[in-house]
Amino acid sequence: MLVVLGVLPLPSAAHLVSTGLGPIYDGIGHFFLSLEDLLPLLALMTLGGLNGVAAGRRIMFVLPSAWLIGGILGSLIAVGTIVPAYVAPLMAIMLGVMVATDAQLPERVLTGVIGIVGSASGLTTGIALATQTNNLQLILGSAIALCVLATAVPALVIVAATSRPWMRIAVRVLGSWIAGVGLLMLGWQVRIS
Amino acid sequence: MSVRSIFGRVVTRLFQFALALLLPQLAMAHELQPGFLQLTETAPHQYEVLWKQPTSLGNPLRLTPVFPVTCQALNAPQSEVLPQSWVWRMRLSCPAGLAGQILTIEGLEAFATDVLIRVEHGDGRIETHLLKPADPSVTLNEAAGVHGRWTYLTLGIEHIALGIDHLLFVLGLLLIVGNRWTLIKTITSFTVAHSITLAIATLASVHVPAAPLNAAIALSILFLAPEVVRVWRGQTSLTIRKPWLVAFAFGLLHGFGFASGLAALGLPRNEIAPALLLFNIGVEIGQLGFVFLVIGLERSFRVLKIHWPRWAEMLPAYTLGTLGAFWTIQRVTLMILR
Repeated sequence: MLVVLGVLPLPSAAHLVSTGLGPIYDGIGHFFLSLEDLLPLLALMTLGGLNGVAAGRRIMFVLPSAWLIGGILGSLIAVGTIVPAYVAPLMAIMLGVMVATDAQLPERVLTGVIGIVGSASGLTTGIALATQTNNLQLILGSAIALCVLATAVPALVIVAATSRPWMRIAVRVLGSWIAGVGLLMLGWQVRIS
Repeated sequence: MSVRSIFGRVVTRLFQFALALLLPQLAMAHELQPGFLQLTETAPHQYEVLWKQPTSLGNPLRLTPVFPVTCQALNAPQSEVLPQSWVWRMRLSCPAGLAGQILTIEGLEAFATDVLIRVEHGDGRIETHLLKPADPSVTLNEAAGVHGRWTYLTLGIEHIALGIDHLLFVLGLLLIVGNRWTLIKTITSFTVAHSITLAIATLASVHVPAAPLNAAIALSILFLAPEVVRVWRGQTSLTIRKPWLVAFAFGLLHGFGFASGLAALGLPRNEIAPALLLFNIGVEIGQLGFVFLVIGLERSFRVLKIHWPRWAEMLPAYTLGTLGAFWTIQRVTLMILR
């Protein structure tokens, strides 16, 4: 992760949402409106749901924890204006493909993937928000939003994927779309850099 | 004593410690009221100014309206102290008119409150804006009034979103209700009850002193905490058997609390009915959003087959009890000191 941070330095693009309801709600708004950060996390949650109930529980507990640790670390190290812009699209492509192929990962591998993706995503957000006042409250708000999503999305996918066979296929199609969007985002980053 | 039990106790103590750290911020939940600035055009390019400066714990917030540079005061401002605001009145002359001019509330960035701006033009047009800390200025123009009334909807949503005490009470009710039908009855009772008192307080200008009201709202949260514990112990009580009854009774109190967000503005009579309706709809949107969120999470926990340890199951009751007790003591103390 640190290698990626060092290799791909790009100008920071923090876009803080102002809800007028304070930093916690601003953090929640920032999380939901940062599509490039949200996409790989959504793919990971979907993958967790496809891997069953135990994997869904792992997503619920490990992902927000890893994200929060990464977020706090990012806000503390505050690597100036450096944000790895290629990381999120690459993660979206990788996880989107895994969802599309209905990859069944061993528990340890899945935990590792959750830890890496969660902390990398948190680190990116933490660095982007480091310059904001009340940045820790913003990160806490984003983490709360992630907790809710990391609980609801795997549960929703489990219900959908086990109810009818075509629903599982629909979820896999969603994975291919996530990979496609990730590819577009990566292309855009290559173009502007 | 087992390791699991010790861990549970440590986590509970840590949670109480974290709550104690957060309490000062949470305690502000309902102290801040929105400011209100009204400009009424009484003669061509001459305006009566009414500025309701919000207060926090009895002290006025350092907010100052900055009028367009072309405007001049015609008299010295006259002030009057009300329970939840300081009211200033003055007359203003703006020879260049107000269209296209910038109005700013200086100092708004520093507070978690809003200021409602209302301009009554001489030709009957009404312009309404809601200024927020992130955007404390507005350019006055003729088209703004079309969307102006929706600001009351926003105010309603904001009021419930920032009203941690109201949300905690709803959470307490959700933790008590046993089935879907009881849930519908309970939430409907709470909604009907707080709508009644919100309407009475706003339309009939019934004023309930803020200090005892806030203390009673805090007490309603404290009241629910032992009931939640009773539910988990498999015991029963009137509240558990008929939660809709308690929801209705305390809903009447919470309605007066909701009204504080609207009544503090002191709107003109012809504006009160639509403002009340939209404000109440806003409150209901926020409340229903919260209810669906909690229900959705509870359903997700069941799908994921999560078996919470005992201490984690007790956390919501601890939250209700700790905050309810803190707010009750704090608000009663403030009431006595005043």
